[in-house]
Amino acid sequence: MITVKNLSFSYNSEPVLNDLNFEAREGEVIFILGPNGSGKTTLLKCIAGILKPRGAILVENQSLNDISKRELAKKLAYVPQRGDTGFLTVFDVILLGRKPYMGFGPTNEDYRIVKDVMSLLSLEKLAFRRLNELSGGELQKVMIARALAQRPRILLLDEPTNNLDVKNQIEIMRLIRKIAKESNISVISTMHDLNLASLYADRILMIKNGKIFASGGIEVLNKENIKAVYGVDVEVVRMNGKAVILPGD
Amino acid sequence: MIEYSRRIRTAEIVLVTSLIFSFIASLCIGSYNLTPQEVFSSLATDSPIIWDIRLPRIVTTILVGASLAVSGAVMQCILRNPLASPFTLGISQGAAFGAAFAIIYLGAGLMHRTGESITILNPYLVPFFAFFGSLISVSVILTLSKIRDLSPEAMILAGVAMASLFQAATMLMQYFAEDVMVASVVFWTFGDMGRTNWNEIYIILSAFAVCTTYFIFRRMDYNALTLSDETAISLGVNPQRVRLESLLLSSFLTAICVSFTGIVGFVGLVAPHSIRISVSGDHRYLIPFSTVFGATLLLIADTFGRTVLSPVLIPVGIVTAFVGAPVFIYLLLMGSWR
Repeated sequence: MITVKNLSFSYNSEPVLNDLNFEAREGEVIFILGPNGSGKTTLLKCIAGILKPRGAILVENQSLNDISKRELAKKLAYVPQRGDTGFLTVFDVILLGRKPYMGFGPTNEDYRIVKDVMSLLSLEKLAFRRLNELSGGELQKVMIARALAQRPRILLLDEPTNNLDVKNQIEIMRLIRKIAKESNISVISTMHDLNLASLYADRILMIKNGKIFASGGIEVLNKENIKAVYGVDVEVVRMNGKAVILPGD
Repeated sequence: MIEYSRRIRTAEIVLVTSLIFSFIASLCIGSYNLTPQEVFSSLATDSPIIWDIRLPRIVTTILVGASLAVSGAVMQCILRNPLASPFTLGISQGAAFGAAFAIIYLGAGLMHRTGESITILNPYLVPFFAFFGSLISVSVILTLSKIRDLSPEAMILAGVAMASLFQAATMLMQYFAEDVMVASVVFWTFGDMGRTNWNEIYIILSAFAVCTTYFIFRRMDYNALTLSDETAISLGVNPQRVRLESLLLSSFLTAICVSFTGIVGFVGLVAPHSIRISVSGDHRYLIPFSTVFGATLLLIADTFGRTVLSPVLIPVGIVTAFVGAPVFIYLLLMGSWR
């Protein structure tokens, strides 16, 4: 689905990402973990085509450099971390997800897809509220809805649970898994909360100083790796095949 | 859903009706009052009051109001600055400086002895220099916002600085110009709708048609740009390109208007804001609605200006300043963009 080969990136000759290799398959939820400044967001922006890295990114076996931004927007959707806000209504914003498909303006098909996505995320009641009137959780859901209206094959999320309460965090995580499995989309998301990651990931990439330190199933979330990547001592308790990470002494 | 589309429909009807109503009213009202019947019967003939005095003035006012409002709506979107408008960014003042320069030093215009009126001899050279002047403001603001991430307020302060610089430069030219020229250059300081001829109106109309077509074509890109640039890029929009093209076209449209009518402030600020707050921030509606509302606003202001102290005509720029400045301060206090 998406293959990243020898990806490197520097901001003003300051190396941020260094020779990353990985791939994401259909229907797979991958979480990228790592401390602040480790390059997680930069990696997402490279895959989204916002930054131009060295190395190769293949989307459905096509190099990112050979795809126009508009064509890419039909295959890949990106939800940045900082919630966008403004005067547009929820409906207008989700409709923007159809932008890559539009000629002069939206068609009935576009409106139908927007309605489908809104009912999938139970956003109908908010349809004509303005973005600047929404709560953090609502805003995040709207942004995910906008991304889904693009009908992407790959969904990139930057800290989707930031600033959300527990209920919203779980709701968003369940939703993301459901979408990945039902629509066979690969989801690549950065994440700070190790426990949430261990609960909802198919695969985990741990990044340290712009390099992949460890990757694999949730078993990579062990004491040693967390100590090495984050520099903190933790206890990892295994329960029903899931890992619970507790701060150690 | 139904409620929202009803609001759009209602706004559409109210806006168009009030434009038509104020159009007919301002044809009737004046130093010589006419009844609507008289107006309609004289439209069919070549009555000089209608064809040579009132109609050119009214058509100019509608076009200039619409142009400034649409430019303001576009600038507010692409600069992500709700206080942006041709006037508050110093673009109008830059254009007025360019136009005055062409008239005084390049002989593009003819000053009458009375000092009251001015005939633009070369209707292409003046807008060209006006556009050039407006580009100076645009490039200063663009450069500043590139170098430093300017807050909306700081960007407007830069605009105010550019505006006073251009006003000073225009005054300096007046200072050294002949006495008769002085009064006529004042023309650009206060917008006045009463000096255009049909040829100039066609020029404004063409510029308005071309630019507005482009703006309408870009309406979904503008919606995408109300979100972050990153989101816009991920939707296949090229923010740099849309921003540059839109800023150039809106400045061009402003420059054309200023060349023939002088500086009119606040229409570009008030019209889009009223629509955004009361109807919709969706550019599919915001652009056409602001255009119609801007035209209506300026038409009412001009009709008011030429009748309230009749027979003295108050330039419309003075009227809009009296209405617009309090609104501007109100917007500043509300901080409604946050």
